[in-house]
Amino acid sequence: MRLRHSVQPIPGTGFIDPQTLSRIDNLELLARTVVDGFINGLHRAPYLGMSLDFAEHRAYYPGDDIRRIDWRLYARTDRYYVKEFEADTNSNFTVLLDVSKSMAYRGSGISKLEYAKYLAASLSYFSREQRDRVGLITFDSGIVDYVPPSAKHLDIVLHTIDRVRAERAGSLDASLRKAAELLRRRGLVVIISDLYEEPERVQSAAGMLRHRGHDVIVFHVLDRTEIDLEGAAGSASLDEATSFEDLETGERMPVITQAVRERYNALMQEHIAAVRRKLTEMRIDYELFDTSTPLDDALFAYLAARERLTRGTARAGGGR
Amino acid sequence: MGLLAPAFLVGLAALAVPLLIHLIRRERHDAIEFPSLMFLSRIQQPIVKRRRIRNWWLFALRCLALILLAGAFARPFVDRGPNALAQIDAARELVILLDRSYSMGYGDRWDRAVAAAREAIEGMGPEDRVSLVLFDHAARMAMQPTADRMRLLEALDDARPGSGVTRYTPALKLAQSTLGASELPRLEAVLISDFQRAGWDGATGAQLPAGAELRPVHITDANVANVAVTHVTLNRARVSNRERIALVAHLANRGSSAVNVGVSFDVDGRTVQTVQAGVPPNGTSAVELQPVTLDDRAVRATVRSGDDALAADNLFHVMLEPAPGLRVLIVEPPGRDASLYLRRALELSEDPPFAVTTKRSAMPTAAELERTDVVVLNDILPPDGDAGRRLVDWIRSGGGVVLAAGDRTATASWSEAARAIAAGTPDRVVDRVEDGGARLGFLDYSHPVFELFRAPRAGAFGAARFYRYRPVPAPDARAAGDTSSTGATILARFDDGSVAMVERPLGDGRAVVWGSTLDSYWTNLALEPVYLPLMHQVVKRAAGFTPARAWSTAGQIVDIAVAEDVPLVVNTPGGDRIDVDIANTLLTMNEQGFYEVREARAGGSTLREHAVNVDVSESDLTVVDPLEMMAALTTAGPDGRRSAAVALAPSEQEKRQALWWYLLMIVFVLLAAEPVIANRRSTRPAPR
Repeated sequence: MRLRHSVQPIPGTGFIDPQTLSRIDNLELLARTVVDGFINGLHRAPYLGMSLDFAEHRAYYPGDDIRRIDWRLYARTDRYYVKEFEADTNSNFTVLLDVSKSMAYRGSGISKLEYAKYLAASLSYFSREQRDRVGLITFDSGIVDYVPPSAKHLDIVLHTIDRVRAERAGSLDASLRKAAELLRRRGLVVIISDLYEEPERVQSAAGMLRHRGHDVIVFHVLDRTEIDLEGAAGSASLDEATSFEDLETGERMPVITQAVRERYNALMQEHIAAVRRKLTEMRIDYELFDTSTPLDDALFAYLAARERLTRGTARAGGGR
Repeated sequence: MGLLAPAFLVGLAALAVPLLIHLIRRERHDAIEFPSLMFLSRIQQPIVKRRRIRNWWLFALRCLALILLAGAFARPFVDRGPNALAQIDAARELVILLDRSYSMGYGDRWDRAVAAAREAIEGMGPEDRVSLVLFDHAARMAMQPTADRMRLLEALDDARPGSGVTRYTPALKLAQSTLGASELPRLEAVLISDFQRAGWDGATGAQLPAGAELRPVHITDANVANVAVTHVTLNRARVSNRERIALVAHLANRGSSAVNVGVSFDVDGRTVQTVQAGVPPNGTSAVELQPVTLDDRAVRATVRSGDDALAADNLFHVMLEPAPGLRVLIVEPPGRDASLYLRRALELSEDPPFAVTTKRSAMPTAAELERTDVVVLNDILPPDGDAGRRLVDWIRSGGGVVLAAGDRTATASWSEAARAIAAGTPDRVVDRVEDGGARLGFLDYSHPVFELFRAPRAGAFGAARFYRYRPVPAPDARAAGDTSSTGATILARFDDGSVAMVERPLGDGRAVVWGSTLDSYWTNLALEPVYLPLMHQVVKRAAGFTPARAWSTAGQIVDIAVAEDVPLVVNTPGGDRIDVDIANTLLTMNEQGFYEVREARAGGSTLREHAVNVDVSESDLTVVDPLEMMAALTTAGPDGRRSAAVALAPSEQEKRQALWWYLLMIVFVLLAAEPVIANRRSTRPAPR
């Protein structure tokens, strides 16, 4: 499994380090810092414009908005045609943020939840800059907060992100099922979670959103310690049993770190590979980040995925 | 080891408590939060090492505290068996005999001896009584039997090695009386000494009580070497009417190798001569020192030899002062020179010198008597009348007379004064010409006059013949063993039992009456070698002459009287001041050095000085086997040990030992330290 670490950061954006950003209290400022820094590094406008680029004409069907009828063409042909454009400039963008207790884990740097919050804020800000309607759903074992997508809800989204706390155990399946019910209008859905579920359940949960027509991107956030168990035992001796406590269930078990590390690493890699495979089967984009990954990597991945989705939609003759 | 309440050992089950604390509580405190055990729970882990005790020191401390607590409640005691029990635990009367003779100043012997005494004191039990005896030639109880350890240690701190010699008998007798008077079950004496053979005389009369234990602490050194100044010989001579004294220092080497030592000679504190002297192993040598010419004043002189480990016997102090002369007035009859031999004999003396004046026919005048120490009435009798009475009065006031009754002292001519001197009238003249002359059949060698001739072949009186003699009356002669100061003492008898010489006290003076002539007219004694010393002795005895001591030996008693009714103080070599009672001017001089006798008033002048030296017999460091001493001093009790009869019950043993108290104290300390250690461990940064 290869992490996004191997992706070369966009020149000039390497400073967007999560550890550095954690010193910024204002989440909007943080998001703006991330996005502007990222955009400046692109050397071209990343915005997809107002999505007014003409694509093609099609015949008018009853029910179409009569404001979109090309009257000039009607004058020449005496037929009703409707203009189709390259993309929809006002899609819904919703972040589904996992705030279960396991997200509170902090390895050597910032916690997974903090990283996820920065990521969610940056993506929301970035999407709003693209004139998208931004919304937010936080979940653990159920829906915690729901901010419907709106062009005016960026402040609420950022405020909600700012005050989330990881306090309860999580259940991805149940939460995303409810989220799918809430998000009736299709749009772009970004799931940010540590995905401590069986790959089949992750596929099932994300698949519900996909089946409802949403474009889904899954950002899998993990701490480096979770991946390789390096330094998990703290100062305890590696060759003696150390009690590990599950953050969500409170369950404890003695672990001889040195004895289980290799096996644990293999299981984790298998899990990540399985999740990636399952989601790909559902045409869901999947990216894995550890909490030390610069946020521009995440934005870059998002941008790439969005562009891919937009073109796919266009090729498919999508539109509303 | 026994336990009075072993049931309390059940409390050892409480050891499970720290075990659980270290195995269970640790997990609660040290759990590491992890996002999910989803994958960890799928891994089979080895069971071993899943539980491990950390903080072994804390665990051991807690366990030890519990063990000791249970042990304290079980009331332990050391059971040493019925016989040894009382030996170890019963109260003990301990006498510490600490040798403070000057040989203990050899190297670090004294420090080692004090350390041994301190160890004995600090090892005393709560019911023991300990006394401290310091001894050299005499023994002194420095601390009476006491259980007060501090007082004993203070007395020990005050102790210093002295100038005396080692004599074990007084100390052992003091230990004997102290142990004998004790009612405690255990008796013990610790003898801390260098065990010099010179001090061991078999301890005549000293034996510790039956069952008492004598523990010797042998303070000795290997390869002992010591050079001592044993004595100094003074050779007096008169030069230009002043007395000159030539000193010869005698050195003794007690070591097994020859040494070459530097000998220095100090006069009045100033070094006037330094010479090198070789002394053979276990031998002696003499060093002739520079003569000292004296004026009227006495001077201090000190001879120093080498710088070996025993410093005390490297010094020898001498007071050099002009020898007092004796003024002798010889009164002889007209006619033949009856005093020729006597005069010649007296004039040959240097110590003391005799100033002889001869007068014929007439008795001495009052003025002559005033400047005379001894009057010799050589074959002449004092007349009746003033001259005779004056002479008798002079004798009673302290004068001395030697009366020789020859052929000119016919019975009829004995005056009242002569009879007062002789206590009667001499008998007729005994003529022994026909049988070859009489001999002296008895001499009182215990008397100072003849003491000089006590040694074999010291005086050849057997060759003296008395062809005529006049038996001396002795009606007031003291019986043998009579030590009263009145009555005459018969000093010599002729072979027929008649008295040849008698000494008679008269008032403060003394008269010696001799029943023959002092020349060769009646006897050949004047021609014999013993004549000269005999005459010296007789005249000195009549004068009451006591030679001035150039030095004394430490421990000797010296009469320091200078004049009557003069209050005196004495400054000792150690700097102490001793006020002298006028009625008792005898002083024991225990310190080596110079004693200064002064008038007891402000600014009083120095009247006399005394030099005191150590007894050189102590410089012989040959040791006696302590086992030999123990065998002679100790006897076993009727049952082997005196204290063996005392047997203590276990409860009594436990009570005396009180081990539980010590255990509780340790538990208290451990429990006080436990939270400190535990907090220090728990305040470490918790691992994530």
